[in-house]
Amino acid sequence: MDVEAIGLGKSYGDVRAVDDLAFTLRPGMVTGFLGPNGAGKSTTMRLMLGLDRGDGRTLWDGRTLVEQAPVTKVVGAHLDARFFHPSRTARNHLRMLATEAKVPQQRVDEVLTLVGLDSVAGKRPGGFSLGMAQRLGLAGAILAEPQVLLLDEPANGLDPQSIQWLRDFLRHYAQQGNVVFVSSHLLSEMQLMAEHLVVIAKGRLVADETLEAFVARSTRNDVLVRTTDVAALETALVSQGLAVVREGDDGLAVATSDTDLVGDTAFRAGVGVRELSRRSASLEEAFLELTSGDQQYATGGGQ
Amino acid sequence: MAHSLTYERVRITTVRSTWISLALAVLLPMALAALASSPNPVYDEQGNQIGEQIDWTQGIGAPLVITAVIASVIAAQAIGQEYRFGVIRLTLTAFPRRIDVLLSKILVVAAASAVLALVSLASAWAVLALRGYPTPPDYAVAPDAGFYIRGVLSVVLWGLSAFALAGITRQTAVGIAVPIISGLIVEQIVAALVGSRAQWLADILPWSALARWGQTPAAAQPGFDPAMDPTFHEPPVGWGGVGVFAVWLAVFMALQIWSFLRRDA
Repeated sequence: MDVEAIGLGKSYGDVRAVDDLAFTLRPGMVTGFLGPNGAGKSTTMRLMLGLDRGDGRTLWDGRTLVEQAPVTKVVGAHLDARFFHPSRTARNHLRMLATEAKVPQQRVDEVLTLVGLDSVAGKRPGGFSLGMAQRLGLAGAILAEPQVLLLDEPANGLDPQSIQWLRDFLRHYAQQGNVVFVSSHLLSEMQLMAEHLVVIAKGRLVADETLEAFVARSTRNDVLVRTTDVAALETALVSQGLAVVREGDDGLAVATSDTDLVGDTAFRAGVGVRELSRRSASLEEAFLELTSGDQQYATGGGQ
Repeated sequence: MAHSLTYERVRITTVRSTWISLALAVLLPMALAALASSPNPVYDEQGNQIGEQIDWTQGIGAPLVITAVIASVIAAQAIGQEYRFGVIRLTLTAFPRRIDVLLSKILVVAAASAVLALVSLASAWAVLALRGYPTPPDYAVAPDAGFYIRGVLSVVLWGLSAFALAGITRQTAVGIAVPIISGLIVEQIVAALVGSRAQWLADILPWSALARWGQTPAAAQPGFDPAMDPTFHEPPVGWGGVGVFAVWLAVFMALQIWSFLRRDA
């Protein structure tokens, strides 16, 4: 199933929170949803689900959600860890959510076991920790085995083991031919989990591409070359039109990802090469660079 | 629609407050009926009557005010608590056709209010029987079937008004408090203050009008002659009273429907 967001938009007074956003989610891969605080990620997810009123529409295999039945077989969403009645037991919470798709009781218990909440299934979730609440939310989302998972910050409050479990689970879920769309502030985690990225800032689309392509756009991708004659190599590289910055006594950082080009240039210049390596930006570095100046709620800086 | 009804049924039966409310709908009317009932006039040692005989109608009907308040708690929670805890977003994700969700909630609230009213009436009936009232009652003085139907429907209408107010404001407390404070306090004060200067205003106060549903029009009472008192004014009673409340309820419901369908969840 493809999920197509078309012209999504939403204003709060004079503030345009989401502005003409369009992207397509494909099955078989985890798509990460990134953006600075206040970029409009949660609003976008609510617009996709029809929970918020705004512009545009979202098509799920060519049809709106209202035209689908049962809806919980199409999409499972986890928007907030605390979306439950504190005095309704975890099992009853899922039983309630199971009615739309007529999910059998056995599946409710199965999902509780899967997320590790079987021992507290009869307990009221009012006293659950954030991590347990996240697991209950995730259980609700996957209950009817939907073709699309929409998860807003599902890793918040999880311990490292649980985050690893979540990563493995979501990758496996996507590999079964499902759409997984997940927002997270844990960029290192997203780098391990997502294959495709939708990045927004100030409500507008910044990137809709593979993680690899997004990271490659960063200027922090360069080639480090350590040489016996820094001055000669610098001159040779600049004459090739490459930007070069000195690093240490014998190093040059060259603004390219092409190690062959740097190696050939050194060879032609007749200088010795002690080290030649490509340095790739992390997702975090690329994200910070490509969204700098787009933060809705930036801090004032250190004193 | 059938699935959203099932969802609502599971929702309402899986929280403690529903069962606490049901228990209160049994116990409080029993207590009130026991306190308010008196099968025979009460006399002191000298033979002076010091207590009135309380008939079936009063003994059974009085506790319904408490039942209406309990119904308003369940009704207001049906929507207010969903917004408070964010569960409405889960509900509307599973059921994107919002009108189905709202209709299901209205039906479940109405059914729950009716059950509470019936339980309350049965509890009060049992207490009156234990207190020595004749059973079956003397139908010359005991309430007729219309009394029970009006009682149940009054509780249902009260509950629906609480539901609508909680839905408009997304606040459980507003749904519970406004009918009580308005019906039992504010409207009485307003009616007393405006007096004959703006009698029409006192006539259209919602919960007071609902309370007059069971009253018989003066013209239908034997010996009544309106010519005897040219200043006589009678507010809407009987069907007129419930009609006034129905107009208010329709306005509340229209606002509630608009709010539920058009606003962000």
